[in-house]
Amino acid sequence: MTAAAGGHGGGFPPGGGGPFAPDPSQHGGYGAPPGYGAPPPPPGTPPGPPTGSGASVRERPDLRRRLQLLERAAPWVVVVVLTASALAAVMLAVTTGDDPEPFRGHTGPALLMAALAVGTTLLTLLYSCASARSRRRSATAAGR
Amino acid sequence: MMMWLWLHVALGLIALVAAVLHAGWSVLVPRFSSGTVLFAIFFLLVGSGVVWRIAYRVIPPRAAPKIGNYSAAGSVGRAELQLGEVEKLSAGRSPEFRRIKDWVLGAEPPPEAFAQAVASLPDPAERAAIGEVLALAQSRRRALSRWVLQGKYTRALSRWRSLHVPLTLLLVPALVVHVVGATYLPAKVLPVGSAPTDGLSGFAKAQECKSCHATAYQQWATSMHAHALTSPVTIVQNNQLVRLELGKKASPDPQQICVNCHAPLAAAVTGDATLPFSAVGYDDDALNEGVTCVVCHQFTGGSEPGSAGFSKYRDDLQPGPVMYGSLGDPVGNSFHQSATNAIHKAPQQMCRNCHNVHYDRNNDGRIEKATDLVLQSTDEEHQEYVAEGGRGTCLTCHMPLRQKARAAEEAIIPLEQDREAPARVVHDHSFVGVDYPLDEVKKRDPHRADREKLLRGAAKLEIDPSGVAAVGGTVSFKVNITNVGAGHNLPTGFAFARQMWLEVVVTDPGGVVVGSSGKLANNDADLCDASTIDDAGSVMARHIKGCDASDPQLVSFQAKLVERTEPLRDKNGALARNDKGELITSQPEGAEETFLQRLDGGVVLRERPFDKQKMGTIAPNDTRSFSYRLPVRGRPATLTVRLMFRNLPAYFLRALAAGQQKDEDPQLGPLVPNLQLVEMASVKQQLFAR
Repeated sequence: MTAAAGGHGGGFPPGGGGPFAPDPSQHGGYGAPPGYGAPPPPPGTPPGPPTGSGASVRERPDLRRRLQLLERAAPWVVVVVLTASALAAVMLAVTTGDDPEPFRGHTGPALLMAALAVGTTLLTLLYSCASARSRRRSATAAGR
Repeated sequence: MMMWLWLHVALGLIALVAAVLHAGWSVLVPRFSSGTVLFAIFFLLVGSGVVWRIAYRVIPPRAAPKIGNYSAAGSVGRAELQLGEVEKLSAGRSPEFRRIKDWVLGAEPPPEAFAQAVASLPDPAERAAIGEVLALAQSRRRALSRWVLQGKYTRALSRWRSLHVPLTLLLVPALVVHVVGATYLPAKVLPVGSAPTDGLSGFAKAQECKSCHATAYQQWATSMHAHALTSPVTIVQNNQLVRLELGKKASPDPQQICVNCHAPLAAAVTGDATLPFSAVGYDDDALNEGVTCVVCHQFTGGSEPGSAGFSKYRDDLQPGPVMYGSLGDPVGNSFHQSATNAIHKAPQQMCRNCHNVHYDRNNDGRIEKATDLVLQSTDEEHQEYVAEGGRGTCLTCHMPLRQKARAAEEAIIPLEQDREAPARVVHDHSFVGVDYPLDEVKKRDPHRADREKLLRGAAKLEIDPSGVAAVGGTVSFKVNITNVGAGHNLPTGFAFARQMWLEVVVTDPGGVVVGSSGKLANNDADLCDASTIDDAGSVMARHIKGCDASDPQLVSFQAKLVERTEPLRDKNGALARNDKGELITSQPEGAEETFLQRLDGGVVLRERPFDKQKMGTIAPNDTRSFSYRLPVRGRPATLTVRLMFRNLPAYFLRALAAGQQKDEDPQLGPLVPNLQLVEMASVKQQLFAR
């Protein structure tokens, strides 16, 4: 069994650790994949009992952690869609009608959008910085 | 951490949406700008993040059955281990055993062939051991193939990171550049000309306006505003004046007094007074665009007659993205912001900044004729016309309405213009007046018809109805001229360089000229003006062509530019004033007529020797009458009177040309024949009909 607990121990792709690590919930847990972890039986060895059925097969424990709501993609997709729709509706209202504003960067509403874009971008950058620091700490703790 | 990861993804996506809504239609315009570069970086950044995230959801489940984990070192170590085991099993075995061992390590043997090979081993112990070797070799091969796959999946997962992280680092400087660029910060903070940003130090070149405003651009490009710095007369006259006088004066005022009006922006950018303009880092064609689009459309100052000759006007040119015009409901576009202000709602107020030319010679803060230099008073003349009930503005004649159309008729909707604009009142940007580019007019003269139409609508000419009297061999009559069509005097502008005169001809029954006044010997000959020809020692008289003697009855409205002036005094020595209460400019003894607007010089009226009448310009709606007495022979005779116009006097150009150096370009002499004569009005009367 070369795979450590977690299935990817010591084997993350460069920079792929931390939050971008493969989600164990997505590919059947961290148990040894079929055909891996043990040498194949020598030639002439009689086949064993069929896997996945029969009382003689020990059931694998479900190691998957139950994800919290905000750890799943769906709620965030909803947040993005709703927010984007609201922003688009505001701009649509401003740029149409009897006295429409130009749909260009220099108008008041467009500058608010620019401020929002810059603000949210800075927040994402903060996350990136925190994430990078966290990875550096993990690497230091692991003696790498 | 997963929650923070998703928050990061969601914020990035919301930021992208906000960026799209910020840029609007401009995001679709395939044009290089700090905004498009920033958006491209941002789009790739968000896109790479999303794809990275998708890769981490899609690739690991696919990879797991094939590689188990991503430890390449583990796979290699396992392969080495298996090889060691094989070597241990092979130690001390027969050569045949070792040959089979090498064979199975190199490639997967076919089962039948392997069975035969095993059967060929005589030792049963070796036959049993070779099976273990095969199993170890197969396990080693799986470890090695997993190592290859591990590399492939690792690269697939980390590829997006190698794009996402550098783009993140690039985003911040790109954002700073965009904010600085979009707000025109350098152009607004630095003095004009110190940084060649956006063509003309934060101002757009006319060439840039062309792509959307093609009609206005074409009209302007053939106008004298576009030739304000390239007109040969301007170049030669300006450079001679700079050489002789202005170059020694304080800069920018009054050293740049000519070029400030002819190209306020380029004068500010170069700080130079000699033409043509050139400056390091700038496009010379742009510098010599003259009175270009931004000179009016980025002017944020007020209306002050004559101010544009000085640096004040150009200080009110506002660099940046805003173009000012008269429209209160501009349509958004991807090139500039649009706004209106007080002076653009009444644009004729802007014309007066240039079309009055004066210099406060005694620096007393006010302009007074005869004391200060007053070269042009078109705006003042127009104000008098308005005071008397005139309703026309500069635009009525010089920027007439041409069509109702989109102001930016070439702009693509919605990429370059948000939506279809309502039909606009579009003014002509040809600025038709009396001038034309002397060096180009032979090849192309698109405004000749409009120019002549303007001149022909300006004045009314009549032979006075009081009658024509024959006295002996002469005929006496009076000619009346009325300024009926101009909102300023006739002629106006630099009236010392405008020739408007009466050509009066009496012919006998056979059509032979028996008496005349103001008749040119040929098209580039001169008027036989007594105030030039008979001016003792006048340098200008040397350049008169086509005259044997002066014409005492000549009626010419051309003013006279002299090198020095003084206020006229009456016989008691008191300062004389005209009926408006203004001081009268006079030519002192010894002061000559000149072709350069010296700061100590000035403009005086010519006097007609025939009746000592002063021949000043004709104010709007004014009528001037001139008496003639010409020889007559035979009956019936024909009297023809024509009001003629020439925008520049030929002798004036010859005098300028004489001051040029031989290698100077352009040379004015060869251009004299390009002068055009225009008949503004004519009247013919038969005398003594039988």
